[in-house]
Parts: sequence; structure tokens; C-alpha cells
Amino acid sequence: MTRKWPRRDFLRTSALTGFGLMAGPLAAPAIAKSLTGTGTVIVHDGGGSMGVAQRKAYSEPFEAETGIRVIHQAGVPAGVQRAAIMAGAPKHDVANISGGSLDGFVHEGLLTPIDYSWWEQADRDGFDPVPTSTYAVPAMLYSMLLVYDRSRFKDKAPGSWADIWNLKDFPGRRSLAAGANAADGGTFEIALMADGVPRDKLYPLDWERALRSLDRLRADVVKWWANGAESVQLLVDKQSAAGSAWNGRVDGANDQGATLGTTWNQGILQWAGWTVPKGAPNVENAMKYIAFMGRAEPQARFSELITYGPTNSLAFRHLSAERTALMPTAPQFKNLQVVQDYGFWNKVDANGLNGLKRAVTEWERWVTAKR
Amino acid sequence: MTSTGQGDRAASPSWHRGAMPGLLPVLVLLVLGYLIPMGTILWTSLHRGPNFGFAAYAEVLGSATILRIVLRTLEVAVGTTLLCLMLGYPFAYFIATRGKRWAGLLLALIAVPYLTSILIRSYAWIAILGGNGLINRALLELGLVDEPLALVFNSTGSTIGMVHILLPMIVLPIYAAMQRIDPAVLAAARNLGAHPASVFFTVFLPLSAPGVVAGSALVFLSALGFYITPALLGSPGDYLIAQAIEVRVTMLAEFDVAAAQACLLLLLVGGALFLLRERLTGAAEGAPGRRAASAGGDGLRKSTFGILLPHLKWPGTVAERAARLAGPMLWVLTGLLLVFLLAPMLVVSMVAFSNAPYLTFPPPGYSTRWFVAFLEDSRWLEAALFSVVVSTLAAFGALVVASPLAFALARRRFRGRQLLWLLAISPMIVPHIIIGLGLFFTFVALHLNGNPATFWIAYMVTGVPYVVIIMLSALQRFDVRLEQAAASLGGHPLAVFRTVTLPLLWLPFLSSFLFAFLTAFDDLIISLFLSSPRGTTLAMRMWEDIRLEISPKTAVVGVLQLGVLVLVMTCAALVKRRK
Repeated sequence: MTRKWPRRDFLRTSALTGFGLMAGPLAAPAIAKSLTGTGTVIVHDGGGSMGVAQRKAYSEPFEAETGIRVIHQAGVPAGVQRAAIMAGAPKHDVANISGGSLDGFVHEGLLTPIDYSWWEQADRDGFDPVPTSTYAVPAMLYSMLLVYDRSRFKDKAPGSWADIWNLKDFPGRRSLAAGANAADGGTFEIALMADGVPRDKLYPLDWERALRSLDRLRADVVKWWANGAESVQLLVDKQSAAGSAWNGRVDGANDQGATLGTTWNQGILQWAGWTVPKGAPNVENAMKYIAFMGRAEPQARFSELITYGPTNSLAFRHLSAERTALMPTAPQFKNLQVVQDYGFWNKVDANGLNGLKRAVTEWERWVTAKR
Repeated sequence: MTSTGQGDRAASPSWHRGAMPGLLPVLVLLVLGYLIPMGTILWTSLHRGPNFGFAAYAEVLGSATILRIVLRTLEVAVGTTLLCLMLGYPFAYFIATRGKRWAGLLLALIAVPYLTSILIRSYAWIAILGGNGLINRALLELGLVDEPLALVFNSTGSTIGMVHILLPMIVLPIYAAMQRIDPAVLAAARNLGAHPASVFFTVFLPLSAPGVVAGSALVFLSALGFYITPALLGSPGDYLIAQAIEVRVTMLAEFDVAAAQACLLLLLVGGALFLLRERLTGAAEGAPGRRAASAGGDGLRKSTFGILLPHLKWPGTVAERAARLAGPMLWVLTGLLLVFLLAPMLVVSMVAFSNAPYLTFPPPGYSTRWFVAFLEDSRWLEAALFSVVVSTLAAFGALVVASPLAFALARRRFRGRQLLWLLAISPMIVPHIIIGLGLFFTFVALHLNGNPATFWIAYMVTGVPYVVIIMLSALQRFDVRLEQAAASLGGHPLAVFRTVTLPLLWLPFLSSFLFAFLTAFDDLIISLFLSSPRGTTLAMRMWEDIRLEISPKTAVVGVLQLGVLVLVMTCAALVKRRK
């Protein structure tokens, strides 16, 4: 694992994917703090094309620069990671936790504060629209978008969630995330926006109103999807005509020949964070790996390989205009969307339930009720 | 009955007498791999933060929604079991009445549904049943319907998916029971003037009852833990208890509530099984040898069918007509069931050879690109090897440690026997997510975390119920006097086992092994907890992939497994021919 700085590989990769780089800024990389070290670091692997992108954009260059060996280990659901930290045996040195679950980890003191002394201040300041925080560094931004089968809506395409609820003008069956996915699925926010709640007035969510809105769509939903693969597969297989899906999934399907359309309008911007679990054996290496991933250039490399937006906005300097146009955090799209309020999702209400638990409880009651 | 039981025991070979050292390994396994983990789960359910109390139980019992979900789960499990029984019994009968070679082939075919991972199998069903699927396209083409039928994403789809995977589980034990029925008994009944239908209902059916009970128990208990198939193929209302528990562990991290739900489920189902214990563990109450020989007597009266059926009168003409129709109907039913069992594999095979960059059916063209992709991916290959090794070791281990328990349960009466039986099968009642959580806490405390041996222990525990249920049913009709004869002629216990017991019981041994293996090989949930850089299973690699996309690579795994099955079958046939 003593490869040289693999810029040539990187250029070749980006040429292969058909997106050229603006060579200027890359030719003169900023002089960054030295992250050299020894030993290993066990990092979360997102699997599939995400894992490949992470390896190429972050891990391989990190190994080459620092001499620290990176071990990719399959990711686990947040609850499993939480159990593992509580038992004193976290699954990773660098864990990836979805924004919705992060607060719970922080409240229970399961994370080690991020050591920003390995960072350049410019990189830290570049994080936008989600800033870095004491315990987490935003890893990537993605958006829950309105998606439709272009072959079914040739003349007029749905452009807002209200159009998804409008079966008369936009006929065909629907697919949205099951409400048991709580924050990650975005279905409660979508139902409220469809009912006319403006983007900036979504929170605190009105659960009753969201469910009443879902009542009206219920008969036309062919499937409440459970995972990202399913959301797109239902459209590709023509089981569903329109619904919701993550932007990266839609791009992935379209890259492979699908004909799905989306709009950034009323998209729900979500993010996941890099963290260092308490009890992780290789803390210093973990901090170095995270600092490396916070830099603009590796982030640009990552976004070249997969359309999940860079969290350090300086990365856009290294991305072509075509590629930028695919990023949920592109300056021109950022303001059409709403950043999901994870603070609300984790706040405990008068009944002692946080938003996540409330969503699951409400959903179970609603979905199992006899009609 | 007690007195004859003791008489038999006196004549038993030595390993049937006295203390039971053979049970030590299974007891150690169950204590370490099940009781202690479940103890930590019970502890968790009684603590909210540092506070001891019943808050979690109050929350679960106070929720009308959870009650509704549990009732729906039981309804689905019972319905699935009855449907599997109605379809599986005649199917098993058909297999049992074929020649040996045909029976072997049919048995291999019914294992095919297990060769594909749950996700790709569900995808195949959507390709067959969906609005744009094979069946609807054919119906529309033929002009039989104007609108596509709703065959999936409702209870129909969920039922089809569940029966598909559970049917083999009921067919194998029933077949094994039927195969052991002495044709002479049936001939005797006929010679005494009984009509064929009457022979079937009063003699054959009761004699196959242990297989029916074992198969039904396996299907019912498995169905309780199902949630992925209903979630992918069923209606939104098919939200089952295992899913509710899973969401609470993986997303909400509400371990106390999830643990309380699991404990209540265990109490409910375990309690029901305990009440039914007489029927379920049946034969061992009586004298083993004698009972096998006199199945028409005591055994018949005690069995469920035995109570009703002898009182039914079978008018000759009806019976004869039914008997004449039964043959052709069996052929038709078997043919349809084989199509049903194999159709998804056909779709999966076509998808595996797809040349499309994504999952689509029917494929636009064919290539081996996905095989190449699989074989070039060292991470998938390593995971596949790890899964095969761990599952094989675990299935073998479960067979070795749990078989003595099945023998003891079938042949001996001892204090706590039925509790021991309940303990051994209860890992099937508790959802895997809870077993995984408990095992993880235990392994960390024992400093075993990250050790690949933890997979071995975990999968032995999940394999034990299959071995106990299947072997127990097999032994209920096993004539102990054959072993006794061999022993009295001076046979060493091991030699008796090898030359008498094993040849007579090879099928139950094999099916126990198979189910224990497949449970381990298919497991995702437990491996999420146990995974480490030193051990990651194939199921986890596939799961990792599908969070983003279902690629035809998952189908390749199914086709390769099919290849292995065909290879094993061919080798077995060749070996047999040489002999």
C-alpha cells in the first residue's frame, strides 16, 4: 500500500466518467497540514458504488499521503452501531451516522469530539449549508426528490409535491417512502408540502395534518418503499409512475439507461456525518482520516464519482459546470430545497417522544388501521 | 404406558440409560449462546436508562397498535401454515409414492427456492406478478382481463412469497414420516376390506401425523419471524411484529421496548406451545418401541385426526370415485406446485445472464458480465467463502450437539423434559434481531467480539430448533427394537448408530442439516451485530449493495448455488450407480 499520489488514476477515472476537470486549481493543491502516521484505521464503507467512490476519492489517496492503512468495513444500521458503542466495541473508528440519528448519539455521550487541529481553517469555513460541529463532520449531502417516469409524462411533468397528489392531471400510481423510515424517508414533510405548507414553515411538523394528507393519496400508492434500491426499481419496472427517491439513486439509474425525471423544487436536503465513536481503538488516525475527507479536493473527487454533494463548498471550485449541475448543493439549486431539521426530529415532545419515535408510532397506527 | 416404558428401557442399549452425558454439549451451547444472551435481553427490557422497572412492558401492553400488529402476525402465521399444509401434504404424498430415484429428484427440486437470497427472490416475484409482469402480460395478451390484476403489493403477493419459501419446510418432514410407514400395515387394512379412502384416513394419515406436526411447527415458527417478504411483496397493512421490533432496534435504538416486545412474544408463543406440548412431543410419552408398532391403537386415538376420522362413514361409491380422481389430481397439483416453486429461479437465472447494466426483466440480451463482475470482486468472493465455511460448520455442529437431545427427548422421560424441548426450539420464536443483540452483548463481555467463532456459536443456536423438531418427529416412528436387536447381538453403540440408526434416518439428518445451513447462510440480521474486519458474510455484502441498487450480481449468487446443487446431485447419482 505504498502507492504514489494517484492523480493520474483520478484523471483517468474522471475522463472515463465523461466529466473533465478544471485543471487550474488542482494543479496547485493547497499546502495542507501533514497527516502522516502509522498503523490502521477502520472506516465505514457505504457499499456498492458509494464504497468504490469512497475508496478512490478518500482512502487510496489518504493511504498514499499518510502511510496509514485504511480498512473498509461494512456499515451497520444506527441502532446496531449504538449497541456496539454502548458495549464498548464500536464497529468502526470512523462511523457514518445519518443526520436524523446523530443527536441521539451525542445526547448519550457515545461520540468523541472531532479534533479540528488537523484541519485548515479555510476548509472548516467552507462547510455549507451544513456546518461542522463538535461531534460530527457532514460527510455528504443528498436530496429526497420528486421523481417520475419521463415516458409517462411527456407533455407536462409534475413539478411539486402537490402535483404528486393531483391524480387528475398526472395520472398513474405512486410510490413514497414508508413512514417507518421516519426522518430518512421524508414522507411526512412531503405530505405537508403537498397539502400547501410552505417550505420554511414545515417545522414543527403537524403529524395529524400530514396523515390526513396521506389519507388522500393512500389508495393510489402502489407501494410504500423500504429502501433506496426499491424506490427506483418500482419506477424502472413501471409499477409506479411517480413518487420520491434520493437524487443519487435516480442518477445511478439514468446512467444505466433508465428515463427518470426529477425536479429540485421542494427537495428535502439530508446529510450524514462522519464521527468517531467512543471506545474506538484508533482515534488519532480516525481524526486524520476525517480531516483528509474535509479537504476540498478529495471531496470534489468523490462528487465526480457519485452524485452526492460535497459538504465543503470549496469543492465546487474543482468541479466542472456539468458535474456541478448534478449536485443537490449546487448554488443554483440549494435554495429550491429545504434542509431537513434534524433538531426537530430529535426534540422530545410533551408526551416524552422524540420526532423519530413519534413518526414510527403514528405510522404504525395509521398503516395497520382497518379501512 | 409407564410400566411398558420402563420395560423397554431395561432392554435399551447402554447409551439410553443412566445419566445423559451426551446432552452436555447442547446444554453448554444453549446456556452460552441463548440463555445468557436472553438474560441480557430480559435485563435490558427491565431497565430504562439506569432505572429498574416495567415501563417498557407498560408501553407495549398499553399500545392498541402493537396488539393489532401481534394479532395480524399470528393470523398471517396460522394462515400460511394451513395453506402450506393443504398444499404440502398431497405434494409429499406424491413424492412418497414415487420410486426412489424420482423422489430424490423431486426433493432436490423443492430445495431450489432456498438458493436465492430473499431480495432477488422477491424481485423475481414482482417480475412475475406485477402489473407489468409475466402473468398480467399473458392475461392481457389473451384478452382474459382488461386491467392488470392486483397480484402483488397486497396480501396475495405476501402469501405467495411466504408459501413459496415455507412450503419445502413442511414437505420434507411429512415426506420423511410417510416414507417410514410400513406398506404391510396399509395392505393389512385393505385385506380386511377397507376402502382406499378409508385406509388413507384411518391408517395412513394418522401414521404421518408426526411429520405434519413437525412441519407445521417449523412453518408457523418461521412465519412469526418473517417481515422482509411481507414488506417487499405485501400490502402496507402487512406490518408484522418482527418489523416493529427491527425498527426499534436498528433505527430508534429503543432497546428496552424492543426487548420487552420480544419477551412478550416469547411468553405468548412459548406458552401456547407449552400447552400443546403433549401433542407436539407426543410419542415419547409412551413406550417408544411398542408405540411404533401399534400406531393404529393409542397413537391414533391421541392424534388430532384420530379423534375425528374413525367416526366418519365412507360410502363405497364416493370413496371409489374419489380414489380414482385422486391420482390424476395429484399429478396436476404436483405439476403446478413445481412450476410455482421453480418459476422465480427461472427469472433469477435469466436476470443473472442479463447484459443490462441494471436489473430489468426480461433482460434485453444475454451475457456473462455479471458472473465476471462477481468473480472479479475479491470482497464478494471472500464473503462467500466465509459464509459457506461458517454455515457448514454451524449446521454440522448443530446436528452433532442437538441430535442427542432429540434422541433423549424421544426416548426418555425425565424431569424437565418438556421445558428442555421448549428451550431448544425457542430460538425460532425470538426474532433474530433480538438474538443478535443479546449475543453481541454476551460476546463483548466474554472478550470474544470480532472472533469469527462467534458466528459459529450463533448459527449453531439458530440451527438447534430445526434439528430437534425434525429429528424428534423422525424418532417418533422409529422402531427402537432394531437398535436393541443390533446391540443385543453385541454391536458397539457407535457401530449400531452407523449401521442401523444412520441408514434409517439419513433423510431427517440431511434435512436438519440443510435447514440449519440455510438459516445460517441467509442470515443478515445476526451478522450485522457480529461482523468485523475478520468476518463479513455474503448476506451483508448483498445488503450493502441493495441499499443503493439491486444489481444482477445478487442473482449470480443464486445461479452459482444452483450449480453446486446440480453438481452434488450428479455426483451422488454417479456414486450410487457405481455401487
